[in-house]
Amino acid sequence: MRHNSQFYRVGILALIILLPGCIWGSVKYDQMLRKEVVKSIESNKTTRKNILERFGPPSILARKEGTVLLPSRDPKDGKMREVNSIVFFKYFLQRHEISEHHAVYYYYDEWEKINGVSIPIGNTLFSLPLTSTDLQFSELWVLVNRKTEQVEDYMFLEREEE
Amino acid sequence: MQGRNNLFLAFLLVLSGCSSDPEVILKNFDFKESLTHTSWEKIAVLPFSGDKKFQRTSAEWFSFHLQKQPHYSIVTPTFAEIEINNQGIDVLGNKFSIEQAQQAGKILNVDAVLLGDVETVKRSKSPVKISLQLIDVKTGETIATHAIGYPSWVLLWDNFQEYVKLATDTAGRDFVKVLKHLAEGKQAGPLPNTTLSSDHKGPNET
Repeated sequence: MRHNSQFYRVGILALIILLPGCIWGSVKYDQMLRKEVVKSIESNKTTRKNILERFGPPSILARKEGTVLLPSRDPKDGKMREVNSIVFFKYFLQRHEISEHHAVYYYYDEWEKINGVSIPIGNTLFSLPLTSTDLQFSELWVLVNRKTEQVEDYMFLEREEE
Repeated sequence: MQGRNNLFLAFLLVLSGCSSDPEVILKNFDFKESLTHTSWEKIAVLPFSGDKKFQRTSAEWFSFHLQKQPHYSIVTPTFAEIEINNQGIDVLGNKFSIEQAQQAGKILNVDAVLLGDVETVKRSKSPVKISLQLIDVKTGETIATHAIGYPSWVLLWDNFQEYVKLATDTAGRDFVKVLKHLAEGKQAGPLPNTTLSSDHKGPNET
């Protein structure tokens, strides 16, 4: 009987501790790059400053020349690989004449789509049974002309983990 | 006994809602108090040296902070990089000497330059460290140096990017205070906190 009441108390205690951070329903958890904010970008009106205000520092800032460091394709090895900066301009090469004044502000965001109940502890999300969590990726490429300080174009993609 | 249990329960409840940014463990600031440079108009943030992954983004974010102050016009590092490259000088990733910093300042037609270095070293005392140095272009004099470091425990469950941003935020806010002090003198209020550690060197000092 005493054991039962102790077990009950510990259970209630655990529930009280974990409940404040609980997430339930169908939610987008930890999403930084929101579609509605991205949609507010207007070509030749939005400025570089606006982009930094809305999205913070970019994951990568690429200029036409040179290389940038990217994480290895295998996240476990923790190494970096060097790629040509021009790959960050791939969506804009057809529509724009890229000069030395152009830079791409690239943002990358990993987030989770939750259906059910989950509890975030630290940076890890613990899901209760019957809860589905899908890892999602958002990417934003913003083409900025550093001479005019204006955004000339952008590309936004959202995808699920394959 | 019951009272102690309740206290423990209350403590756990408060703890469960707790969240805070990690504390800076290294903050080493130095400033030449006697000099006030009210005649300055333009300051350039030169491309940062150090970890190639964060050189541009950290410098860009730092200059974004500085652009919020009204006293000086700020030349951003990407713009500086283009202009200096056009003079045939490859700057990205290289540490500037004082002479090179002065030369870059003259190319950019600014009164002072800010040199920065961002380092990320796993398993070190402060795995994320940003060092800054403000140099008078005319005299080559170092007006202020600053270093900010974050401890290793914060990196146990995350990557460097977030902590480089945190360190850059701190550096940016601190240097806004420095620029305010340069423009307004002592009326500007307190300068950033000084020395938590004594091993700081500016980005181009060895």
